[in-house]
Amino acid sequence: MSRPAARTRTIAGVALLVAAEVTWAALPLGGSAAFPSLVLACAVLAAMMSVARLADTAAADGEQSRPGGYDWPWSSAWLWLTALPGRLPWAEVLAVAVLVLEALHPARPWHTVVLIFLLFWFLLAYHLAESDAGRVVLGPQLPLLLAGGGLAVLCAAAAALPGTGAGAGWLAVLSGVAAVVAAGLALPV
Amino acid sequence: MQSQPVLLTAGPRHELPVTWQLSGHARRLVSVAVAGLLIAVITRRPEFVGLAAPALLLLLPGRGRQPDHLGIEIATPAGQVTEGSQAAVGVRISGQGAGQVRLRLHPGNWISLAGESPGEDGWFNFRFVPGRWGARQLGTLEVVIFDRWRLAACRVLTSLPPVICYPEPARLGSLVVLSKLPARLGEHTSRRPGEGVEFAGVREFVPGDRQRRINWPATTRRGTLQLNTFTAERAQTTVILMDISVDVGAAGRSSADLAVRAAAGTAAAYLAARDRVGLISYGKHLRWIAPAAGRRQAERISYLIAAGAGPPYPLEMLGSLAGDILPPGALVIVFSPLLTLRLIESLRALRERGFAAVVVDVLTAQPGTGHGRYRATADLARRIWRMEQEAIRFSLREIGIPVVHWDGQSALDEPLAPFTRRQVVSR
Repeated sequence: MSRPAARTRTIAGVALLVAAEVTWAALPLGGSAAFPSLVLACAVLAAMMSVARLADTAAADGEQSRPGGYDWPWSSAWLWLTALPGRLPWAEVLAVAVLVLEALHPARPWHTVVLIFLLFWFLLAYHLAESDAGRVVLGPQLPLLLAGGGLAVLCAAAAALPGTGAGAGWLAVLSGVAAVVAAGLALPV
Repeated sequence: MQSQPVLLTAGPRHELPVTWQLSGHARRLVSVAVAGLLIAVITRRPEFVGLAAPALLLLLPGRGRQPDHLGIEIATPAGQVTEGSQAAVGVRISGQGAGQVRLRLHPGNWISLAGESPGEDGWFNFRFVPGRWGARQLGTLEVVIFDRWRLAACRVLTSLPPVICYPEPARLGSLVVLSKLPARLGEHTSRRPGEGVEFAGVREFVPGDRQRRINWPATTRRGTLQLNTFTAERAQTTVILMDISVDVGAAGRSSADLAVRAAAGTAAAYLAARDRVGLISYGKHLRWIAPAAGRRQAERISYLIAAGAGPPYPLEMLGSLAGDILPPGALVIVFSPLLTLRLIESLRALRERGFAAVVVDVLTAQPGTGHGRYRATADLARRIWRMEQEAIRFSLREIGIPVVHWDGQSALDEPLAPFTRRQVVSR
């Protein structure tokens, strides 16, 4: 398969994943409260923009034409404004919006775990499409991904334990401590 | 397009400092992890901590030490780059350690990328096709290096060196030759008798003549010894005047484009015939190369045409150039859109000095039509402009400077055909 065709296929896959995770996080759609609707709108907008950026559209690249041949005093501001949508981190906005959507629903641990898997699948596919790399680059990260997936399932199991027993609390605290330690190791990159 | 092997000349290695930052992938992982932790704390739901865990685990390996300098070598085309033909530029990155390199060429607006391919010894080649002659920057090279885990990245932008692109020479097979040629051995048949191979006539044998040239049939008929005579073969001095003072028309087919292509083709054709060829570039300044023959002269002329290098002189000097630049008896071939009145006056002055000149009109554009209520005025202006142009050409023809038009598509032989079939009479 040629390189453009493979890239198109990857982008199409990312678009499907985006649609799936937004739908999964939004369902069930209940009520007409303003905040969930706003978050859903943000998620949809961010989904479209992140896929558009991958497709290398003009909006994503910030390649806007000037308003005219002459450099008017407001032309730089206009250029900055029109280039802004291409500069925003739409993928991050999408991930956060999807998580907020999920958090707005009542607790449903196994539903959240599926969303987490969808979200990471999206992040990795987005990374591959963005860097034009093959799946081979994910090979060394596979053990970490499996370990992370295990931790996610562990956390969901802790949350799914009935009641607010000491076991669930301890598991949550352990997961939190592990995550914070990992953050401390990772952030000085 | 079939890729051709292209010779490249490697430049020196440059050390560039690099600054490593979180890659987009790492930034997204951090965002997800922070968002998951915050939501877990705010909503007291541990399943969101499970979201942060894989993200932070994936971030763990990216703590290795990265190189703080990068070596870049750029190889430019070894031979001449001609417009419309494929060329390549090579790039080799070193000092990146285990990092993965991604190269991207942002080409200048005068070239189009034709492909990219890895070469030997770590070189990476970008093939391109230059669309227009001149000395210009190739573009900007973007180097992005990811660490092994693609969690940190550095980005370096560096300008590629300028490349001289030579114009595609116009085709010219037959040459305009003057009736009087200077006494210099060459390949053009002269009217004077000499030692050439072109038969000129028969005359009576005189002592001292070579016996092998005796024409025995004529001797038998006339009863006295008759001798074959041959014409002399002489070289011509041709001076090409290239007018690039104005550039009108669409890019790629503008008057300057046609003038330089015609000048390049004409110089090559005359130099191939072992003539002495000089070039006068009439642009913002006057630049010239005195007539000479040989391969080195061809390189000098090509360089002046493409790069415009050379000491500048005022344009007024054209009418009074010295004999070493415009030798007496030289043929002057002018490629011009005839839009500069000062040049036309200089041509008249050259004609008054006795130079035989041929003007090839390279104007392919015309003023546009008007719109709306200004249409009538624009049409009138266009008619006046056309009449002025006709008057200029008529005045040149009247003083003995023929003007022919070249469209830039056909071979130069077509417009010059009336002068290549017979010798141009010079004073």
